[in-house]
Amino acid sequence: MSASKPSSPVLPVAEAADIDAAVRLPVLVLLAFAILWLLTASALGLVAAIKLTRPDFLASCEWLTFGRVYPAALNALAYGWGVSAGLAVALWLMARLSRAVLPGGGLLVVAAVCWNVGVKLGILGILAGWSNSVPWLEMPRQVMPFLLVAYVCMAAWVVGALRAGSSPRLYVSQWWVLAALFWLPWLLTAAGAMLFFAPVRGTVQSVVAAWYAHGLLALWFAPLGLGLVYYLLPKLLGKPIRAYYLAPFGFWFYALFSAWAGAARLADGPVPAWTQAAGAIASFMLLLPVAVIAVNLFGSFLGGGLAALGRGVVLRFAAVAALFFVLSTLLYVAMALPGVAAITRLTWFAAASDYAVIYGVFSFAVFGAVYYLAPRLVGREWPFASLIRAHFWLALAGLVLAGVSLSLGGLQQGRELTNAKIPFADVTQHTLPYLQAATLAGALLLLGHLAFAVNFVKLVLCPRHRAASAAAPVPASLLAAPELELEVHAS
Amino acid sequence: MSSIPSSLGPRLESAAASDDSIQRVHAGLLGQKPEPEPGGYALAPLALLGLMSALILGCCIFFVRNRGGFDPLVYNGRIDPKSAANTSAALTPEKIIANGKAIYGLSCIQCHGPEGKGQPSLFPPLAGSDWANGSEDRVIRILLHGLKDPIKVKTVDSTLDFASSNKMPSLLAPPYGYSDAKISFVLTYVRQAFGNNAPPITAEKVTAVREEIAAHKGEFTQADLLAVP
Repeated sequence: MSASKPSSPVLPVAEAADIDAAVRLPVLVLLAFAILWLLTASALGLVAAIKLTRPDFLASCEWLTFGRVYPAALNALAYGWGVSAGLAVALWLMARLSRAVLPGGGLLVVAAVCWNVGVKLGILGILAGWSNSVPWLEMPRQVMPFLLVAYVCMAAWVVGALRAGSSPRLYVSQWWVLAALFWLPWLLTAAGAMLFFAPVRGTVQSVVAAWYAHGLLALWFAPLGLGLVYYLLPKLLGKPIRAYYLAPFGFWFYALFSAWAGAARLADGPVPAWTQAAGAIASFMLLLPVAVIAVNLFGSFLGGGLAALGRGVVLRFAAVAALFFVLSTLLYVAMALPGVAAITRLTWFAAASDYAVIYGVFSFAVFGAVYYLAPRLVGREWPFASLIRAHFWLALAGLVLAGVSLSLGGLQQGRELTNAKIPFADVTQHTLPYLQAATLAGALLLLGHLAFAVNFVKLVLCPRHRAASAAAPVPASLLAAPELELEVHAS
Repeated sequence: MSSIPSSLGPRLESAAASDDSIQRVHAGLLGQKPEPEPGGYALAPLALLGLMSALILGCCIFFVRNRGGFDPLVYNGRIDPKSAANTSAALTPEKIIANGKAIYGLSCIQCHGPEGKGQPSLFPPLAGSDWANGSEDRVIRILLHGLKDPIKVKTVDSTLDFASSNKMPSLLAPPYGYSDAKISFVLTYVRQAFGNNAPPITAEKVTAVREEIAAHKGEFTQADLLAVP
């Protein structure tokens, strides 16, 4: 980024460029790994989805049986794509907001490679048949210590960015990102120790498994997505977060209740009734932070913000992420109600709300952030505007189609499962159309991710795309960001 | 918002605010008091407080109703283990014997003794007794209305004659006033403790016998009882 030496007296431009240059290599390496994993996960997920409706598809391959390919897809999505991409954007965001010029990104790249080798071993382990039976933790236990060390090396850089930075103030995005960075190793070590290395006895295992599954979604993916959305909205709209003084309440209430809400997944399960009730009320209390966060995020769109949605794809990604955060949390609250839980538990409905978090909230926020940050890191514009639009609409269509079909299918499945007069084979038969729609959604998502990957590869690897026209490095004056104005209140 | 530059298009999204200004403005907003409504109060914090209070109240009610008595073995929150123990629906053989033993210790042990051996020439034994292990109709009658006058009791190794001076009181009457269920518990206990091995007696059977002998006044005699099968 030597092209953008300070060209104006406004300091932040040059500073932002230096910060970006320092994290460029690790962020791009992590993003490249993440995108590879996203494609892998989408492909594996599509295979799993096809197998649900056509069991004879690839039936002769032992490594691709449904029981292996489905957890492999979920783990590739969560750890390959989720953690790599999450750390990439967290590193960039933290460096930017802390105004830290990080030295020595090389070590970070080594840690990133180690993490991805670990995930690869884990996924291969699942496909080879060595998986655990714990949802979201199917990777063989042997890779877990390895993964944890690699993760800590990477996350330490992000935390280090906060310590080393020169910014005197903390912004709400930093709370969310920092908290998520600490919550994930807590979840991994506690669940790994209590389930694999020193297993607890009896039904406590199912409590730990539910706590981990919910924690991974609600304490890693959702907070990272929220941190990004909290940053992108004022960044692109030029308006402050509405009712920002409430944001700390939203954060602390969410942190307090989310860790408990996992027990609601065990409704009517073989665990003590008070545990289920505690999980249910923790889920109900989540209405409070969700109300605060909804006011914060959607309030920014009041007064002309909605028109801005038509202008920028990044903003659209961020808006969808905000919408799905509220929606998915409301689904969790609904599923904690005993009457609803009796129908939705053990159906596709529960799976749909998990996908809503990991895809609708986290992935959409990351897509938006990458579309914003990658050209600034590389110093070039995205090669294909049409692929960006195609990615957004394909991803949105896939997300909505999968969400709607799995929710409706899950409700029907749950209603019929509770009716003893309907044979089980008929229940399976009746969910087939919904699963076929979800398979179509998986294909749309894969297409969208391909568009994303092609654009990213071209952006990073081909310096002279469209050499004739505006391929030149982005002039620094275009990157200059104006000052945000404080909203003037009536008082 | 005239300061927003025209969009650069999706290939390079333009920023509308610098990082530094975002943090500076929001740091100022964090300490800012909420905007008051025309009436002079701020709506948002009040609404939030109301929502919080309602949620806490609702959650407390939900938790109390679904806590299952904090019992680690209760998986269905709608069941309260304490009240469930007193209904016959939740009775297990162990609970019946435990209830019967408690009643025996309260009302029978003074005369019939902790081992069910009674006292020579004063109170008849229950251990191995042909009466205690015999006809259900007869033992139920004894407990419901009591027993007077001489009685001959055969045990495993002896035959004993008891004089008429000691009356066995009715367990229906004060100070006992036991329900049919409790009488069935103590009878079942006696018929299965002290080395006895007779079948249990149900509360329904006790009820049936009580209704059958409703017209009878006073204690039964040996002759009355022997007339019953």
